Amino acid sequence: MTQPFVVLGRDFWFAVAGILWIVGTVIFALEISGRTITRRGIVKVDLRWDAVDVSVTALTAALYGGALAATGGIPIIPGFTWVRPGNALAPLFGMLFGVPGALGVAIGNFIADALTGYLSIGSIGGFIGNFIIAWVPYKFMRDHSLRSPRSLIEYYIWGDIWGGVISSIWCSLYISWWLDLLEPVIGLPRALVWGWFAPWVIFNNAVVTTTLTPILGYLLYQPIKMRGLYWKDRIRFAS
Amino acid sequence: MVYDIVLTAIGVIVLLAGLAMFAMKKSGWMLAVAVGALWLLAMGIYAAYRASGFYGPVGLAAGSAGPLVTTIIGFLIFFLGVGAFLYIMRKRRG
Repeated sequence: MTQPFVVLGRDFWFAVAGILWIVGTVIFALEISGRTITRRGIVKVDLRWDAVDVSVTALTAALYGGALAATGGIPIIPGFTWVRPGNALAPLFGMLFGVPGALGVAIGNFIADALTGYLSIGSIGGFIGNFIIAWVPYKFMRDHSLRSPRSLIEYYIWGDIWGGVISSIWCSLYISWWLDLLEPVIGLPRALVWGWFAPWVIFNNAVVTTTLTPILGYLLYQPIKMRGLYWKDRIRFAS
Repeated sequence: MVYDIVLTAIGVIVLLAGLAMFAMKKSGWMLAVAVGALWLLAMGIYAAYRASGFYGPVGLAAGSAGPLVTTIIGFLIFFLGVGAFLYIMRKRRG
């Protein structure tokens, strides 16, 4: 897992992650401001942010933050990351609840950082990085039911595939770039960021999102859709 | 220490922006208030843990009650969330 990071070196990954960081930050800003990128360009989203949407955000923040904090006493890199089975919830909340769910994931991660002694200026990277884990499957999967072969294939491509092709790698590189940039302030050595932190974040995410998330999604999709909470039943894109 | 102030200031700014949006009857105020409040809740937890000596040089201090308290709080928040989720699901059915 660490091999590609060691072989290609810090400068390569810093450049790649810098691009992903800029794209991720722009996407985050667009989505929060009620816009999104489609094949037709940037369009407005009819997301009301009413009591239901805000409740979904608060609820997903509590569930994700609580699940992460529950295992917060088992560190991988003391001070920066820990064993996180709760990560299974991140892509799930994005797929089921859309942007309100993804924002809940971001806030939940921030709360978990405070509860586990990992809160620092680096947590801003974790905030948006975790938003991306939820946003990628929400945005790129067409069928979020996890009840059809197509849906599962889409999930494993966009959500995570042996080590995380898209969302896990993006999240990891996003946070790693931020930690590298702020190394004089945060204090995590750059060799540790790219040789240990980045691959471990990918691995940590991949293990649970390849196993637990599809099962949880299979169980929860139908009841959530039946009660009108599924994002496609609530959100419209402006033409 | 200066970064604690920066992080706290971000929460305060988002919360105040939400309240200002509410006063101006702009949509999205509820989101800004919720994000600001939850952000400041995290900073409150951070301050309380720091005052309690739960933090070590990095992460939670192994010899303190921090890891146990965190596990308990984590499960508590998680199960409260599950309870609230089930309540909402039941309410929307009826």
